[in-house]
Amino acid sequence: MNTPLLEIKHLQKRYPIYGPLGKLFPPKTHMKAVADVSLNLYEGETYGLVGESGCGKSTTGRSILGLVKPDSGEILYRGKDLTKLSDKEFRPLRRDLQMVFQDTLSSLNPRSRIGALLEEPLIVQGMGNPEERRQKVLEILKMVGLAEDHYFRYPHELSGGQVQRLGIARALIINPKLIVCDEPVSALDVSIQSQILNTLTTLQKEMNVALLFISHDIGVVRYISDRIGVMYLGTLVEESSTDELFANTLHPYTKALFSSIPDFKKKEKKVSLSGELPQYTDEFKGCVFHTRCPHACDRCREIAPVLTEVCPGHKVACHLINQ
Amino acid sequence: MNTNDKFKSLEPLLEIKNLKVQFPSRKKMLTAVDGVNLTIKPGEIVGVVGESGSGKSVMSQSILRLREYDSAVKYEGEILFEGKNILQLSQSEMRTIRGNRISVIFQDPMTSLSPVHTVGKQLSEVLILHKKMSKQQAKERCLELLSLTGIPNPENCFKKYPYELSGGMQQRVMIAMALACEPKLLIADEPTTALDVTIQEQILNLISELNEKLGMSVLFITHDLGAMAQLCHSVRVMYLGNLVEEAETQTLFEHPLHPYTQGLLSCIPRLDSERGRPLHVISGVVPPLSAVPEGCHFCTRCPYADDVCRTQNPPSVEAEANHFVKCWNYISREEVK
Repeated sequence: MNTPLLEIKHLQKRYPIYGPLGKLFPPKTHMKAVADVSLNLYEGETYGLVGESGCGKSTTGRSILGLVKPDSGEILYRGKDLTKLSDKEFRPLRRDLQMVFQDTLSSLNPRSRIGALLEEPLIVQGMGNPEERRQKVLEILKMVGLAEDHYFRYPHELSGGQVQRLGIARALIINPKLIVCDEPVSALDVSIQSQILNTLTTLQKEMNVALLFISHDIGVVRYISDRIGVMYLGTLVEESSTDELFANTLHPYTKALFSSIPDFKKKEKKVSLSGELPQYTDEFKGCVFHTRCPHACDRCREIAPVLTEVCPGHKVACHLINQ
Repeated sequence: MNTNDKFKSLEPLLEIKNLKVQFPSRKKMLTAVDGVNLTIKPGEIVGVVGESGSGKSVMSQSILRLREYDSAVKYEGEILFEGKNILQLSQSEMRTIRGNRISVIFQDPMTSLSPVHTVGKQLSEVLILHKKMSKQQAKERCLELLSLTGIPNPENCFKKYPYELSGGMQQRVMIAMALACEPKLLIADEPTTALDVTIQEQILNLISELNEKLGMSVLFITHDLGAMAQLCHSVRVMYLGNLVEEAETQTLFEHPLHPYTQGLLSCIPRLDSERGRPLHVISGVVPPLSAVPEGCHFCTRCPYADDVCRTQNPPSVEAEANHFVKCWNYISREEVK
């Protein structure tokens, strides 16, 4: 394959857990939000990151934009390590890297009009003169399916779907190379969700931008992604192209995850997971999934498996399959 | 069809007749629930599905009269529970029903549980109030209930505060509390929306197990069609305060009649659907309650809407056996005139 647009190498983020006296003493232990995640993103592709809440998918996405400072690891974009940049050095790169949030409304200044909100990224990046900027804003409004007369409205006047369109417009207006979409359709009703997904995919093809699509909704991720990474407890447990992943599911967690999605037909017997997510602290040993895995053996409890390629483009981290 | 036959012969446990719930706004009354008819038989799981703002939660809350504090709310119609009209009961009579004969589980367990009392205290309160149990008796029953809902270490959980539990565990505590007095009817208002899929599956299995074991009816309210298909015997689809379609679960998913239901089912990206094609879209948005269309409520977004649809709201008709739909397409045009 060609060279990746963005490379994440051994990304790690830990949060300290303090004892009863707080920061007076050094932390008792650390909680791993992201433990050793490596993935590549290619130009124009959609990479879906799925997992349950607390598995570190948002932390991974946010570290790309520098919104979370990782403890170790590298994020390479065009040969530059994003984790080592100062805020000032980062700013020009945000022209290429943008983000769409789940709750866009709270990420917008409630006292700015939509026209001004959309113009802001252009001003920050120093693009065009006022007239050109105005033209660009009107153009992007139309592209995402909003009307020109939204220009002088305030964000609170929009419905949930329209606000999400505005969020997409704000990310797209400076022609980025990569957009991190953190649960962009999770808060929307299904009829609105399909409208937004269609808009997003059409615009992506038109502008050739790569998407890192973070979601817990497997149906949506399957629909939109070229490749999918499945995360569990801060670790990437399986990665593959979408069709391959669904045709040939390997990791026991992925299998359980897929079978627990309620389908329209009543299924007779399903692989059901018992228990809940354990705490992933420094003391945790072995495979992240061993506490809930039906096939766990002694080796799984001791040694953490490494993400290995089992067939072209399909990587799994599981002792039973890697043998 | 067999499940439907099983319930057909039974006397209804809850009957909602022509319920209308209105809220005052500055200019006019807004109708959140507009003429809803719904019957629940003993032991039946009835699902109500709808998008946000469709009035499904308001409807379920009126069954328990949880909007009582808001004196400006206007109710019309009847809610018959075991033959008594709930809307005409006094406050003290209502109190003997709430949490005792009918209980409810809400979407967000964290905000529904008291943060300053232990799980044990909150749970036993229900039993001490309704069943007049002593503290010790109540504790024993609580531990029973907690293990019934699948909490691994009930003794330990009894002493904990809600914030010490995970979302799934909190929801189990809510369910234990709702089941404490062995209610005849359980209202589950989006019980799994805030939970992860693997935990959601556990909770759905739990509800259906308890339904079989204890024979209680469940009114299951959700926007997740998949969860609905898993759990319910029959399904109602709600749109802007109207029940637009009513059928047995399998019939509805295999053969939806109302244009809204058809659109809703086809716009969800499913695991077995074809990739790469644009998703089906229901154009437009749900109109606000202040601008509900005069005719069929769905006419602003319906691909088949004509003049009759825009001026008159259709009645609900039985288009096929046990399959009711509120749409002019299934009523012959001669009858209209």
